[in-house]
Amino acid sequence: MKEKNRPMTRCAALGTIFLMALQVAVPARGGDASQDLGTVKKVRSIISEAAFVVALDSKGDVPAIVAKILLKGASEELASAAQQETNDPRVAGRIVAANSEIGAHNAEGLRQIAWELLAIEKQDEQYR
Amino acid sequence: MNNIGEITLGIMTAMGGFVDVSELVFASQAGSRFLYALIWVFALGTLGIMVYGEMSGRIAAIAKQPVFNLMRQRLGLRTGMIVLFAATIVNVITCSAEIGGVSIVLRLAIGWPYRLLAVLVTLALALIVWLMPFKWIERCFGLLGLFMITFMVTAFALHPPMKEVAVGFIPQIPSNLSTSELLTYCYFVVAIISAVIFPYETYFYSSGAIEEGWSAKDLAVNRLTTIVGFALGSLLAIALLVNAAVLFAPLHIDPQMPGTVALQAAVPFGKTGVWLALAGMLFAIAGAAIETCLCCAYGVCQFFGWEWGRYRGPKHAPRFALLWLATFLIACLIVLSGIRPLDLVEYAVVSSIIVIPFSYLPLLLIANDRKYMGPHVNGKLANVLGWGFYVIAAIAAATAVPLYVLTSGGQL
Repeated sequence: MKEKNRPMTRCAALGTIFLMALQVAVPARGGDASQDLGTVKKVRSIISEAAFVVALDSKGDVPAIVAKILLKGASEELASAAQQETNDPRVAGRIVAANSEIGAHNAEGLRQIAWELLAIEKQDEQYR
Repeated sequence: MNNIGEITLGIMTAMGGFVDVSELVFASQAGSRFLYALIWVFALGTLGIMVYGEMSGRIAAIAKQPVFNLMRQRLGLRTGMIVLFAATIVNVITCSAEIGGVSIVLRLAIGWPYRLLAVLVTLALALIVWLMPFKWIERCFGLLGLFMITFMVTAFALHPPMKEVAVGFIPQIPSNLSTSELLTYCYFVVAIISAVIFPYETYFYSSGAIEEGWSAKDLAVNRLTTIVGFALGSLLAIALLVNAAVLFAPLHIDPQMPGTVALQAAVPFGKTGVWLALAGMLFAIAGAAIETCLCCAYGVCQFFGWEWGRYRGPKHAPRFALLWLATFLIACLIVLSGIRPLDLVEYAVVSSIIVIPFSYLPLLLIANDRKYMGPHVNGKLANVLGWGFYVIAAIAAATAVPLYVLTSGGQL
């Protein structure tokens, strides 16, 4: 039994070590094209989420504290993405714009930015 | 009558305790990215956890053997140690993801800072584990987790296209996917299987069965709990996916903040829906945090043959108490380190799939061993399903890391 399982043991050990290494390595792949596309998608989704929250909040469908915290969280996530994950001026500019739309509670403005990012995403996907 | 009440309670507990932070995240993302095309993966994963959950409960009742004890017996000391080490790391990461999830839910409800809440949540959970008997912990969190039914009611209120939902139960690969989308779809298949059959669920279930002193007369309860309870629990996860397909997909929302999931209930039920959804999330995730933490202590103590169990108390099982306290502490420190909760969930899901085949192999072997199981050895159906699912889990384990890398953790 022990003999039979030795290759499996090594696989488990190597797999685990590899995964742990990945956790450090993956966020560090900043210049990678796929990482940039991933960032565009992430930012676009956060902005869409913020638009959804603002729209629900304006109809009174979300408790005020929940809306406030979700929007604060969205702003923080966007700021972090701008600082750490993207050098793309098309995305960075829109993050700044989205943050001011969140402050203004403008769902339509946020949706517009999300659509623009979606167009960038499609363009980049085609290019890839 | 008492027995029927006990069975119902067991089923409801299993249902309420089925969903955790990883299912919340992956079900919502799956629905928003691929509409109903990944429902079948939840169904498949649920079949797997039913088979292995039932097997681990049966082994606990008949052979009185917990999972990690079997691991040492069947895999040998060296292999067993490696699996124990990997499983412990996975459990700690999962526990930290759950603590992060509870902190996020509480932050939404009361607005306090995330890190402060993570500390308070850890202290509160540790106090609960210290003071409450095992059965109370299991029942309270399982039953209060039934607030998650809000998501199921929401799914009906949103009137999803039932034909498309039904078609989602058939294994499929959507047409017209680009290469990166296809890889992401495969990543989600692997991640959902992993999230549904998290190994801590069987560790906890079988350890709980031993703590409660199960015997052959509990086999019917075991079968009903794992089959009916897990099936109903799985429907909650599928409801999350369906809601996301109806609400999030048209708006191109691929939930990046776990709190957004609670908003599914806001559309049909307004503020009340959100509060109920948050309550369900709070108890379901907190229950999972306790389970994963205890599983670390169960694993190490069972493996080395130390005294273990909540029913023994810290005086009689001091190493067990120290281990679960240390797990909570390390998990809390991971949360405080600033890693995004969503990243923690991904790490937990991807790393757990690697451990699954090694955790489930000893179960399969013992469940087939007449020396241990006597007349309660696996039947043909249990063997076909068990080995079939084992192969699926092994393939998922082999592809998890490459898919994680290729899709940047499902972000493409």
